[in-house]
Amino acid sequence: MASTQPPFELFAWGPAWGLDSFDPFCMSVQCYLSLSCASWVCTKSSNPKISPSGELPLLRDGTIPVAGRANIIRHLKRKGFDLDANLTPLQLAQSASFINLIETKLYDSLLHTLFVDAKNYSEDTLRVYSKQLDFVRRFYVPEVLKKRVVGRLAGYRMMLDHNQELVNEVYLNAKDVFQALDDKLGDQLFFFGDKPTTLDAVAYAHLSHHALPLLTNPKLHAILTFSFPNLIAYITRMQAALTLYPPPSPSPTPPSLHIVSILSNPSGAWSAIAADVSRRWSALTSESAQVSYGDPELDAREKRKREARVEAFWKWMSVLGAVGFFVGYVVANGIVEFRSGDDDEHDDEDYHGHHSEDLNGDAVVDGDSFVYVDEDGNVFTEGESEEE
Amino acid sequence: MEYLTAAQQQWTAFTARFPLETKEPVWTPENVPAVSVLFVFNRAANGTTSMEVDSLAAQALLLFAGYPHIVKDCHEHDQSPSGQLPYLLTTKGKALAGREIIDEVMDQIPGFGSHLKSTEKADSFAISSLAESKLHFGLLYDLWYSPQNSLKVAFPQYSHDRPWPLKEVLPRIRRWEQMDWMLKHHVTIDKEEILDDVKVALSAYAVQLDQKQYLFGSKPTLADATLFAYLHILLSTFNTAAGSHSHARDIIMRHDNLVQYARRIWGSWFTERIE
Repeated sequence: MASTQPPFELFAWGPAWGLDSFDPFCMSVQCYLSLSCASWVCTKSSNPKISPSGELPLLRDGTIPVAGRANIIRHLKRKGFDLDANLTPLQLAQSASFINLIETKLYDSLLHTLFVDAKNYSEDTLRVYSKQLDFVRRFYVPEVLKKRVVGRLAGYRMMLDHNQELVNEVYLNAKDVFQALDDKLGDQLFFFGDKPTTLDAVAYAHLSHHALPLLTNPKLHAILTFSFPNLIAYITRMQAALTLYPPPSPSPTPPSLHIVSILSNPSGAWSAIAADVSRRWSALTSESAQVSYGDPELDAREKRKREARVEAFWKWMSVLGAVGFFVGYVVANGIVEFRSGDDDEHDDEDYHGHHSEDLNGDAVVDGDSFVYVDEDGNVFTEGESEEE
Repeated sequence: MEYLTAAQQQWTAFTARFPLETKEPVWTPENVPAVSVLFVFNRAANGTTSMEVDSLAAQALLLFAGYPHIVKDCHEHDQSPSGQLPYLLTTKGKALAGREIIDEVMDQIPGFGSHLKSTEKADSFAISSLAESKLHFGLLYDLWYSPQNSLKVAFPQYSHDRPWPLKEVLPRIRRWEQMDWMLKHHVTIDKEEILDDVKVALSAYAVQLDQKQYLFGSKPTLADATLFAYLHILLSTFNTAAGSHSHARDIIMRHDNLVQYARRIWGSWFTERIE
């Protein structure tokens, strides 16, 4: 494994329900990075649009963005962080099959539990998204996701199980997948022997979400606990194993605001601006943020300088505010108008009247020309007087 | 009274010119069929296999398991209880679709797949999902997403035996449904990503099959039925229509053992039309 590799930066959905991330795909990559002993930092993100694929997780390796669970793991393997290095080709094929099974049929049952189950959606899922998303997006993003999930799960029907009880087909599929994972795991520590592999990272991430006891209606937790205790023991074992691996490095300071982010995500950008201003203001004014030089006279001088900066800041803000208000007032009330150069040419023509030419080429005044009355009461237009 | 009688006679003579004939009913459904009937999407003329992958997988499953049945063509997906063909009408009068067909076969033919150990059953179940997701996406991309392929290959399948203007409208509705399904499962339709997934799936199948007769030994299983359906549709559908091209088919052709496997199953199980 490369040891001089600068840290990978993983953008993932934030934590919830005691898990590192409430998205199982993000958590799969987090587990993989931990198990492979890579140097990485985790940056909490609630904006999938930063990813080229439109979905999180996103891994940044220097300047290279890699999106999607499969692409990220493939990239890490190429960089030397390969958990499947000791697997045979047949085991690799089986690993790919089981990972696909987990990410399709098992994930569908998780989506049903979180979004289609009305109690879980209103009391758990919405709460988690409200904490992750900013003020504006928390009101519409969960509904958009729910609509997509309902469309994705439209093909599942209500069916009779072996006990002749009516259940949703998605839970029957989940039981089949649990059974397959249970059979594959058997008495082993991990799926392919004594060392964890990619399948273990993915299976642990997804099964952790299924084993959530904190949901209002923990149907999947009940199925796992009562019918598949071996998988519950596996989850506990993986949790203990992950504590032996190095945790992620602290996340770096957030990048400065960029005009692109403001245009693409205005509400998120304004939240970031507000947070940035608040941070700078508290750094500027709070006593705990003040640096002590050890010399009282120097500290007092620095304090006076800081207060002068704050006073100057407010003075200029008030001047700018007043100027801005004045300009806005005069423009809004039409006292001052801003026109382009073409308008000026039209004004000149209006001033001199609309000119047209007769058959001889002489200018003839018509339309808005000047009209005046002389002492004798004769009425003339500007053109007539000139001709005379 | 005489006038009344004459009028009556005239009326009777007039209506006698238009005799009312009672014809026999066109089709009366059986209460319970003597043999289970599998309704599949249209098969090609004189062909034995359905043109749709789900129907062909069900055909293969029933043949591999030795489940007694006959096959009938159907072009209405709404006839099925799940809204998608195929569906199976059993001798008990039940109409089964989707996983109910698999459960019925496993209940009625307990020996089917019994030669597998528990880990092999788990592997078989897992490897089936590769075809149902990754190969399915590749098939939908080649068949429906590409405008040229959809016009030359998919539209003729879905406009078969339909009068105008249904033959223009229904295939386009079907195309919209398939694209909508794709977008519900993937945020973006990325050709490279879809083809990479197809490569991964086919590589896994090629490694699992190796030089064996079937995926898990000398007897076919549910995984073989699913894989054969996708291989056959991809290999045969784009083989005939001029101007069509399938990327997934090109990837299959790189795995010679998969091509021979599909030919072997076709030759062994699908030479006779079952009706």
